[in-house]
Amino acid sequence: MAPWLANGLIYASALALTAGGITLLYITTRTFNFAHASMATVGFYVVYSFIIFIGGSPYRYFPFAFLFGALLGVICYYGLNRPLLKRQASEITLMMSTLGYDLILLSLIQMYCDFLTSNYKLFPRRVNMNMYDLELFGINAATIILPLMAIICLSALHLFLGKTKFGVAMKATIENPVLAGASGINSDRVYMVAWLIGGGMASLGGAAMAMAQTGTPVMGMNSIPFMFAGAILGGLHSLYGGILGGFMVGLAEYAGVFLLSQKFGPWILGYRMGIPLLLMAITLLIFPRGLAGIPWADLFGRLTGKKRGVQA
Amino acid sequence: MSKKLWYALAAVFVVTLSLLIIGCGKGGDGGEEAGEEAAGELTGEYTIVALVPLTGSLGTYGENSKEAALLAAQDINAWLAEQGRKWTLKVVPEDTQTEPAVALRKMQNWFGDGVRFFSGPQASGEASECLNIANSNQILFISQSSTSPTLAIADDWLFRFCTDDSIQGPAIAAVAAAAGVKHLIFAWQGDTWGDGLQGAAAAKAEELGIEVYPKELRFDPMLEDFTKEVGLLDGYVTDLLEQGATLEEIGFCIITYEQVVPFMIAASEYPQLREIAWIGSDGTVKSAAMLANDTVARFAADTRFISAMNRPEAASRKEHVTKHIQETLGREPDAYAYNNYDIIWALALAIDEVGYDPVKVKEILPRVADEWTKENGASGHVVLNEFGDRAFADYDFWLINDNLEWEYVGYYDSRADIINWERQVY
Repeated sequence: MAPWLANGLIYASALALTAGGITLLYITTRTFNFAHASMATVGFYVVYSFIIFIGGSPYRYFPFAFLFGALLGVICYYGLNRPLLKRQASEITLMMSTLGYDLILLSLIQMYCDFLTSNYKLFPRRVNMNMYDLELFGINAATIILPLMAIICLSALHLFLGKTKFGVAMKATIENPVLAGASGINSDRVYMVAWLIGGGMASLGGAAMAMAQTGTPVMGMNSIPFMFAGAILGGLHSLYGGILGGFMVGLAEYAGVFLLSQKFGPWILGYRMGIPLLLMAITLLIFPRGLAGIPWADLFGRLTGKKRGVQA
Repeated sequence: MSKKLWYALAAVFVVTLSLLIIGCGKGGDGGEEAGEEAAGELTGEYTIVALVPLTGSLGTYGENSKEAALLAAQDINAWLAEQGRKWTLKVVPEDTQTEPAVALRKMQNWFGDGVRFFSGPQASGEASECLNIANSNQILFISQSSTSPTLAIADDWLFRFCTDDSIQGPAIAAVAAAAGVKHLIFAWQGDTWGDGLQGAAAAKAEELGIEVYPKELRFDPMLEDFTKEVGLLDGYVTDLLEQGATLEEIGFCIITYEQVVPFMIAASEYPQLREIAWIGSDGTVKSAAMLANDTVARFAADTRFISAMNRPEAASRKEHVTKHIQETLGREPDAYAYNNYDIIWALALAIDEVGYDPVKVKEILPRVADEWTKENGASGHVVLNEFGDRAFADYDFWLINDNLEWEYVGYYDSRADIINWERQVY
């Protein structure tokens, strides 16, 4: 597999996870979580720290990245989001509060990097995690493991929301919070779990992202526009749409930009950020509700009908 | 509203305004009147801000420069006490994040607090961003490593204790010619420094009969992943091979900072890129981040990745700075860290002579730098030209050898335009 496509798949998987987290938090608590940026970075530093202090493959530490992110999500919910929701704060206020939380996390990350530099003589501000990667079938394991991991996470989330009692309650709260509250569902717990999962997905996504990009304290901050672009492309009201949107934005940034630059020249690389955002804008112009608003069943039905017609 | 409340509000307003007025213009405890003080009469604490990139693509270099500046402050304060002076120096390191806008913001903030003297910023893009505010507000700043030829401006408020790239460019072209390169592909970060150095190197390369590949890989200085750029580079090499060139005749010059690490990681996936000659610049020389990554160090050794760096002259305090940085950071300093040590000393000595007054300090700075560094400099003798930049320097060549260590292999004599090899590389 061409290295640019392999990296594109890893990055797209990471964006799918982070964009899914953003969408989940938005549809449950109406909060655009800007702290997703530093939560993602924290995920990378959790894996990096385990590797340098314990050693071994990065993948065995990914669950810890999820747990750490989940903890940060719960802290954000109880420390900021819940009190503001109780005061019926506007969406802007909720969003700005997460920006503040993001800055606090960023400062803590910087302090941690200073600590690693001064005490262990490390270079934590520029880490290429792929040097710790394994080889699988002759290619970097991340190319296979991380897209698989994203699919497994999505399936687990799907099963959780569809097959467990709490998941169904959560889904009900997402779809109609007032009615869910009237039926005795504890919305407070639902929101907390949303932050737990959303935070976990952000950190897991960050850990995955560092396998494709240089890990730096501002890695998440540099990628946050794409995380939001993925969530918006997905339609913001559908968790699955957000995940699909993240994946498409990630792939467009790598594969799309590379293929265009081969065709039109290297100057296209300068518009690396613009191309996925353009894709988002065009999709929204045609389908204002994003990918989730596309009548997929209708489209497939028509396609199948046509085929049948031809056969007939 | 009652009269009492009005009086209370007025009182609060007056007190706040007074505090603001007192607070403004303070470069230190010595106060704004410091500039009026004659030599030897300074009292209190005076501040020089070291604008260093502690994060971002120059992070490692920034840490070295910060430690050098702090060591200089420590040495200067010991010297001031010895001389019986009543003032002390405070050096405040500020992280510019290797971002021009952040460097400017930090300079503005400290200027608001009365600071008039800065060392740094490190990168030309940052220095360029700070230039206007410095020129219009008489802020004196000295960069340890801004090398862009476009910033060689007479009578501005930027001094540079390094030479500009009109010398390094030819050094890069000379090493390409020595490597037997006939086709040179460039990739560089699109900022003041990258554009200037690439231009100087490409012009000299053409003069030497080397064909510069027409497709340019100019990339965003903030980029952290280069799989796409490297994919294109591989295509360009294939294109040259199809045109009849051999791998030995193809050279690749990358002008960037520590982004060379992800660049080489991506390049290591393409076998033919390991067969061409790789050339770097002062942005990559002696990079500790390269050695920290086995894949990169091995790739650099295989491609004999060679980088040029301002040649530090034999200097009395060089060992002193080296020892300190090895103790605190556990690594060898780069040449620009020595420059920063000398910058803090030159500024402090000039302030000691004429007071905390940028206009007066600017007048005497070339003389003070010349006199002090001749005997004491950590980076060697600093003579400034009409643009306030270091007038001349040769360039050392360093590469990562088979033991995966940086090794000095020769130097470019800028006046004779020749390379004096320490050992055979090509």
